[in-house]
Amino acid sequence: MPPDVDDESIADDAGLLRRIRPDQIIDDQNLRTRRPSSAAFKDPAMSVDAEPILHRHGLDWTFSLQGHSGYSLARISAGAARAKALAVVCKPEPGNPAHTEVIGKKTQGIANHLVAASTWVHLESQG
Amino acid sequence: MAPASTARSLPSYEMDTSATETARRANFPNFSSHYDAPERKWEVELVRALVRLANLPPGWDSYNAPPMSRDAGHFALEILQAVMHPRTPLPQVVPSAAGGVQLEWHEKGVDLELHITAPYQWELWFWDHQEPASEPVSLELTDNFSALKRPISLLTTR
Amino acid sequence: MNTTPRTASRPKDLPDFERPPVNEVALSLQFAALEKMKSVHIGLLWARLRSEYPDVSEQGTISPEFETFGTPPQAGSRIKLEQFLTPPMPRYWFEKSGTSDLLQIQQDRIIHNWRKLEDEPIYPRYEAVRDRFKREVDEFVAFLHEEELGELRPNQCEVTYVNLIELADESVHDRLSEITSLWTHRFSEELVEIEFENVSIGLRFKMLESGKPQGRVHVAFQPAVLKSDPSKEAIKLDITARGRPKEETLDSAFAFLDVARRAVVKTFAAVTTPSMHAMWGRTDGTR
Repeated sequence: MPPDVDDESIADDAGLLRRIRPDQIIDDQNLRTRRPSSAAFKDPAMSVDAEPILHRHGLDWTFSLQGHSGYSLARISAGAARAKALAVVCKPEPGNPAHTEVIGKKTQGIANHLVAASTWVHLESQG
Repeated sequence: MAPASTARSLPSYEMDTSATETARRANFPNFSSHYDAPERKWEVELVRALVRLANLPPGWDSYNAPPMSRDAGHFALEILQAVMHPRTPLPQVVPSAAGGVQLEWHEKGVDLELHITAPYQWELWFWDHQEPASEPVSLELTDNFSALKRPISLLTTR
Repeated sequence: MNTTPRTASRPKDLPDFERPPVNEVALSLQFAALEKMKSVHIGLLWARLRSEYPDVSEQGTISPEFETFGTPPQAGSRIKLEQFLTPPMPRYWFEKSGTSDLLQIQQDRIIHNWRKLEDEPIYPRYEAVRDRFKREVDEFVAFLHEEELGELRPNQCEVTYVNLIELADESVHDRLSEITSLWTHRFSEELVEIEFENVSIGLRFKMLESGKPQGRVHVAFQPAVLKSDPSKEAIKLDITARGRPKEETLDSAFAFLDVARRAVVKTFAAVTTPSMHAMWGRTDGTR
C-alpha cells in the first residue's frame, strides 16, 4: 500500500466536513456554546468529505448527512489540519468520491486545535 | 480493608470480619476517611454512561470507530473513583473516535479532558482560563494520577 | 521433616523457612480482555489440559485491579463496572480432585493457585509453582494463537501468599503480639467490663524501583477459625504484591512476578517476629 501522502490539490482553504454524533456534542459552559468534543477528532485516520470534490460532482454538504438522521456536521479547513502536520489524503470510496482522510496521531492538543478551528455547517437541535 | 487477593478462600477456615464491617458502616459526616467510602451518587450515573458506550457497535460514529473496550471503561471508572469528591461536578462522557472514552469538564473557567483508550494509556488536557497567561497542559499518563489533583480541586472548590 | 529440593534459581538473599505457614499461593496475570474468546472456546482449551485437570467448573468473574499512585487511597466498597455489563464468559476453574493445583481462566485473567491439602502439607516453593504457571501460560498463548483469539498483553501481575498461623493455644488472638510486633496488646488504661476479643491489621506498602513506585504490597492480619475444628482459632496473614509490568509482554510480566515474590517474602519476614521465624525454621542465617 502506498504511503499516505498529503494531497496538495486540496487547497488550504478547502472545507473538510465531518459528521458529529449527538453524544459527541458537549456543553461548553466556559464558552457558553454547544460544540464538538475533541474526542470526535481523535481518529488517527479521520474520515471527512472534501467540499471542493463534492462541488465538482454537483453535491453539497447535505450529501454528507444523507442516511445519517440526527447527526450534525462540522467543517474544518485543510490548512488547519496541515498546521499540525496532519496529511490530507483523498481516498474516494464507492458512492462517495469526496471521501478524504486526515491522517496522523492527534494528541489532545491537536484535537483541541481542530475543535477551535471548526465551525458548524449543521447543528441538530437538542432533545 | 481487603488486599483484593485473587486467592480463593479454602474451605479449611472462616474469617471473622464483623469488626471491619461495623467500622466501615459508621457515618462520619465531617470528614472522609481513607477507608470509608463517601457517598458516591455520581457513580451510578457515570456507570450508566460507560455501560452505554461499552455496548456501542463497531462503526458507531458512522465511520470506522471501534467501541470503547471494557478495559478502558474499567480504567476510566478507576480514575474517577480515585479523584472525584462528593462536590466535584459530573464530567460529560463522550465516546472517542479513536476507541475508548473521553471524560470532560468545561466549566468554572476550567477545561479538563481525560482521554482513555486502555488501562494505563490515557491523556490529560487541562487549561485554567482564570490563570493569567496560562497555557494548556497536555500529558500522556500511565499509573500516576497526581496531575489530576489541581484541576479536580479547582472544579470542586471554585 | 521432608523438604522439597530447592531449585537452583532461588535468590540466596531471600528469607527462607523450612516450615513456612503457607496455606495458599496464587500467581496471577491480568491482561487486555480477549474479546473474541467465548465459553465455547474453553471446551477446546480443556481438551489440551484434560490430562492434568480433568475437572472444570464455572465461577463468577473477578473484576480488574489496577495499582495507581498520586492520589489518596479510596478503599472500601466501590461500584464495579462488571456488575452492570453482560458477563462475556464466566471464570473457569480447572483442577483435579484431591490435588493442590488450580488453574483459573477468564477473558482477562489467568491464575495458578497452589493450595495446601491436609494430606499434602509440603509447600513446593515459588520456583516450582512459577515454572508450572509459565508452562500453562505458554500453552494458553499457543492455544490463543491457533484459534486466532488475540494476543496476551499483561497489564497487571499479582503474587499472593495466604498464611495460616496457629499457636498451640486456644486464645491465639491474645497472643498476636507474639506473631507480629505491629500489635503490642498494651492499652493505656485498664478496661473494665470491656473484654478484648480480636484484632485485624491492614497495611499497604509501595514497591519502589529507583525511588519510583512500581506496585504495592497489601498485608492483612485477620482472625480465622478452622472449619475442621471450630474451637481452633488461627490468624490468617494475607500478603499480596501487585503492579504493572514494564512492558505488556510475558517476559516482562514474569519478571514482575519474581520481583513481587521477593517483596512478599521480605514483607512476611518484616511483619512477623523472630520467635515465629524460629518456630518456622528460618534458615537463611539472618536471625
